[in-house]
Amino acid sequence: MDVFAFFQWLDTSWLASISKAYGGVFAVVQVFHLLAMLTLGGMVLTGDLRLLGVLLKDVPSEVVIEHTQKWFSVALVVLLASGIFMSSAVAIKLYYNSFFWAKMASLAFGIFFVYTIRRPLLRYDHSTINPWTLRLVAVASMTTWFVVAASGRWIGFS
Amino acid sequence: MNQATLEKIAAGLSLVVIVAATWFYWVQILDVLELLEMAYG
Repeated sequence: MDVFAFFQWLDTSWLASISKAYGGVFAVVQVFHLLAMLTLGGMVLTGDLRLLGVLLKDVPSEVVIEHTQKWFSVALVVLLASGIFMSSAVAIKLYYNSFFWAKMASLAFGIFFVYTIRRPLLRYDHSTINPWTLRLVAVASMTTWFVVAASGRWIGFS
Repeated sequence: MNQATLEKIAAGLSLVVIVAATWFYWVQILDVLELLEMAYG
C-alpha cells in the first residue's frame, strides 16, 4: 500500500474539510485527545508503579492491573480516533516529519507490547511470575509510553 | 504460549526496550551538553 497516497487522501478527505475549516471543532477534539493522553499516562503509571511496589501497596497488583488496563484501552481508542482527525488538518506536513514517524513506530510497538506481552503475562497470578520480569516489564512499559509522548511533543518543535 | 516462554520473551524484549531508549536519550543528552559547551565554553 502506498503510504503517501493515504496521506494525500486524508489531506483532502471530509475529515480534513472539517478540521481545517472549523477551529472550534479542532480545539474540542484536541481537548479529548489531551484528556485521553492524561488517562492513558495515568493508567500506565498507576499499573507499572504498582508492579514496582511504589504505590497502592495495600491493593493486590492483579486488581490494579485489571482496572487500569480497562481504562487504558478506552483512552487508546479515544486517542487514535482524535489523533486521526487532528492529523487530517496537517497530513502532508506530518508525512515529511521524521518525529511523526518516530511517534507512530513507538506507538505501534507500545500497542504490540501491551496486547501481546504485558497483558497476557499479567493474566497469570503475579506471585508466580519472576519479580525481576515484572519489574523489567513495568520499566519497559513506562519507557515505551514516555517515548511515544516525547516523540509526539517533538513533532511541534521539528 | 505457556507462562515460562512468555516470561522469557517479556524479560528479553523489555531489556532491549530499556537499553535502546536509554542509549537514544543518552545521545540526546550528549548533544545538549555539546551545545551548552559551544555556547558557554
